[in-house]
Amino acid sequence: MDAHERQLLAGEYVLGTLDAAARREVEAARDPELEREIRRWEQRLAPLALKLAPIAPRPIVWLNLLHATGDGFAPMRAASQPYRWLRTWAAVATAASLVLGFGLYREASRPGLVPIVFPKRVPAPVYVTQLAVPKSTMHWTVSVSANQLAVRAGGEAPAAAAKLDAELWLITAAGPVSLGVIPKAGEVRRAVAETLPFAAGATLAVSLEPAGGSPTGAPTGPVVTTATLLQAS
Amino acid sequence: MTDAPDLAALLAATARGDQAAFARLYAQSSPHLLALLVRMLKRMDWAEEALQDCYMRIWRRSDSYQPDRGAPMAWLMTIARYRALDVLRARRPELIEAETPAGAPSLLERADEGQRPDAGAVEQEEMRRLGDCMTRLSDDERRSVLLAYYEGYTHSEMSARLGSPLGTIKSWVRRGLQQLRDCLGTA
Repeated sequence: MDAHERQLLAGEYVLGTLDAAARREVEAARDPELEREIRRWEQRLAPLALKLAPIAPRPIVWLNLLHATGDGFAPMRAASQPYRWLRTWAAVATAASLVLGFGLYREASRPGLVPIVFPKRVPAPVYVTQLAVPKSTMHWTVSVSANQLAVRAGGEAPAAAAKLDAELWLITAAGPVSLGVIPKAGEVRRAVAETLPFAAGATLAVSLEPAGGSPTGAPTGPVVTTATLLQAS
Repeated sequence: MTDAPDLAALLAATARGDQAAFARLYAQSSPHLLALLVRMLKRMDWAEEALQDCYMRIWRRSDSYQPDRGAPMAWLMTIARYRALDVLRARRPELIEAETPAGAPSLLERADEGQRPDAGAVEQEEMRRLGDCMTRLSDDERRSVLLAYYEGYTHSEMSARLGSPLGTIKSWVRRGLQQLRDCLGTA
């Protein structure tokens, strides 16, 4: 095979146009020159892939990977399995949010058990949601009113996420705004900026970040769960 | 998109079994890999399953990335593209054919679309160079190369799709590749 032929064969191999027999021949050749040409074509053509508009994968993909890489479990192989499972989970999560919303609504109407103290004369709306991490028992119950945020963690964090911090985000039109690192056990209450656009239907997300939270002010780690806020009162 | 040295550092840390680095690598690169997988596989469920397979491979074989293999993002894209080709080869008969007819203007327009503002400077430059070189190809040559790249067609599949003889398709692809190579140089 001369150099010219080798270059074109490598290009066809990278493009994927060769039929099965020719492709196997290239793979079996173990020709270092041919392999170098293949590497060059891979780099040359990669800009075609990079110009496509990025698409964020759903959290379930990362959760599957977390299990597969951290806990030594085999990743889920059956194509339909994770999705059927996700639908079930989504239904359960929705139901849970509704029950929770109703529960908090009742709580909020009983003085003394109100999770957050509101100014009496102008009651600010209370928004609640539950953020559940798929394939684990880990979940956070979030309620927010005016500038007060309350987060309660429940369940057990996936072992693979042990060294990472969970950070809560409000997704705004201008992008994610950090609501700070949230605990994986117990409860936290704190003030947040009053100007944040909390609203029914607004999205919250939790990402896994290095200890101390995102170093950049934007999520740097994978999003493990998202949920929309419901108005409880 | 992140700068290449950053991704290279994350790949190196991932190779040492650093899960936090792997998490950041995933967060930064997976939307780009998924874009390619969705483009090639057309179905989100297949694309996400393939994406998961890719990152399993990256986690297990991340030590096989060497800086002399070129830009890390291109290396990651290559893993995704080979994975998509494998899926297509195994599942092509099941695949409901694309909404976009072969060679329709939309494909060519898409391939000629403007530069992505979120790409790093190096990637911008590479995209611009490849885009310039693409314009030197004849319409047939460019269409054949792009159909192969984005749809994963083999010579014979392309021949069936475009209704042109196999030999003609092969020479369009080869002439297209030859011109790209001449234009882009040996780098």
